[in-house]
Parts: sequence; structure tokens; C-alpha cells
Amino acid sequence: MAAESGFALLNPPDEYTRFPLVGNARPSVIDLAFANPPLLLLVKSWEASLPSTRSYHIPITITLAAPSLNRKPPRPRWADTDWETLDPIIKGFKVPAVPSCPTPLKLDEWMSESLNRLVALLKEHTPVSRPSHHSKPWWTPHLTVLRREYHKAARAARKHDTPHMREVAGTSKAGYFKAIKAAKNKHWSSFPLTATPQSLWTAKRFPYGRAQP
Amino acid sequence: MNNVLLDHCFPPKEPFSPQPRLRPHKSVPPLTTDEIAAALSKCSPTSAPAPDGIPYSTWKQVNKINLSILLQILAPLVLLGYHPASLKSSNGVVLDEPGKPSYESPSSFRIIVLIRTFSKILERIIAARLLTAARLRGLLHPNQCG
Repeated sequence: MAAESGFALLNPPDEYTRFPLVGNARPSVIDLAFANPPLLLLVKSWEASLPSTRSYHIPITITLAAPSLNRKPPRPRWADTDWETLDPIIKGFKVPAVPSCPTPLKLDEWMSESLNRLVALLKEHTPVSRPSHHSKPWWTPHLTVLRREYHKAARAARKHDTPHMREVAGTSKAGYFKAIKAAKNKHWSSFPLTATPQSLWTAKRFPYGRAQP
Repeated sequence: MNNVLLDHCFPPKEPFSPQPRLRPHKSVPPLTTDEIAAALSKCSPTSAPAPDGIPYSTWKQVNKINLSILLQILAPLVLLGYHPASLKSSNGVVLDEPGKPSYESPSSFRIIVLIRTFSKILERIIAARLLTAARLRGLLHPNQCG
């Protein structure tokens, strides 16, 4: 009946889910998990490997692989590769020596190594695309450290409410927001100097905002 | 459906038995930087690259800075007549053919395969050589187009 309604059984065959602790009753499979077609695409695994909870029924873990969680790595912006820095590096790049006794396998390995080395070098000097529209172009790794410190100090102040802890949290907060202001100022003041014809559209967004889809 | 399409468009091949050793072809002239430059000049900067995503413009710039890199990588492949397996990886985009009465059959779809730009540079070099050889031997019809 479940199959007729489009549901699929997730339980693997011959896998018991109920083990009676008393009497001579045999283990059985009465805990059934079904998934409808849209959910079935996301089901990654069904496992009964967790330790017993002293219940007749064993705990079951169903893992779903949400597509939104499998984000792609950021894409390199090849149009913005820093060729000025790369110029001397590319000039000095040495291709690994060709195998002296070339077989298809060795040549494949040599080719992969040569290309991977070159591509890794190029990627090192190529900025990656912003992961989302909400990420800030002025953000720096230093701000990440300061944010962590600020939240850490704020948590500590909430937990141990002493004048000293409050003072530390306050200093940390002030330093963090001051650094944000400085980073924004530095980034946007240098923006016109580094602007290219392509960044005209970025500049347009400042007064007019992003077009609604 | 994915597996049906894959089997339809890319039927399984006989297992390839690799040669014990690749020998350079004596009749093959060595690759030149001009051939690479000519192949690159015909490549569109807006062509869709896959799966590594490196566009032709990057290879053009690399070749402009250092002429010997692409030459050193491609020359042995041309001389030995070998197309590496690593260059054959590709991304497939499935498009449905318009006007089909039913889309139950794999023949109602077409797969566009996007291969690595570096592989296509090598292919262009070989294609240019084949074209020159065919013209010299009069193998092409005068009205041949494309």
C-alpha cells in the first residue's frame, strides 16, 4: 500500500529493529521508515549502529543530505588574476621532466602533475568569487579574529558578571566595531582608485541598490 | 533516467589495454610556439570552460608571459601521439530536443559535453595539422566547408 502511494521503505532487508529483553520472543522488524519521492532523493543512509538505550527498540539514525548544504567551492574569478605578481613566477616556472620511458600511465601522471602545479600557481593569485551577495568586500581576516574575541569576552561577561569582565567585553566590543569602521573606510576610499569599467555596475549599486529580481 | 542517458550517449567501451611504451613518431614534426599561438588565437575568450573552469584567456596570458610552458607540456603529447586520460574529463549538460512527441526515450535528449580548455588547445593543434596535410594531398573537396 505504501509503495502504491509512492512511498519507499528505507529499512535495509533483514535488519532487526526490536530486540525484546525478556522472555523468548524473537527479534523483529516493526520500526519501519518510509520516504516520499522528494525526500527519497535526499536520504543518504539508514543506520542502526548507535548503542542500545535499554529499550526494546534500537535507536535508528537516518541521515539526509540536504542539497543546500553541499555548497560548491567558490569559483576563481579568472578575469581578475593578478598577472603583475604572476609574471616573474610564470617566467620562472619549470615543467617537470618528461618520463624517460613514457607509458600511457606515466604520461598521464606527468601531465596531471604538470597541469596541477601550473593551475595551483594560477589559482593562488586569482581571487575567488564571493560566496554570497551578503558577504562584505571590506571584510578582512583580522576582523574575524576580533569578532571571535569580542563574542568570547561578551560570553564571559554574561557568565561572570564582574566589573573587570564587563570592562574587557566593552573594550573588545569597541575595538571590534572601530576596526570594522576602519576596514570599511579603507576599502571604499580606495575603491575609486582601483575601479575598472566592469566595476561601474558595483558603483551603481551604492546609490540605487541592487535590482529586485 | 541519468544512467539510461549515460548508457545511450556513452555506451561502455572495451577495456583499453595500454601500450607498454610510447615511441615518438619519427615523421611527426616537433611542435612550435607558432602552432600554439595560432591555436590559441582562434579560441573564443567567452567559450564555456569545464570542468576545471579555466578559460582560454588564462592560457593565452600564460603563453604570452612564457612561451615555453605550453610548448613543454604539449610537445611530448604531439610527438608521442597520446591524449592523456586526465584531459578527457568533461561536464555534460543535458538538453531536451524541442518538438519531440515524448520525452520518455533518451533519444529525445542531447548531451553537450564541455571539456577542459587545455584539451581543446591540443585538439586544435592536431586538427590544424590534419587540415594542412589533407590540403597538401588534395583530400579535401574544393567546396568543403567546415
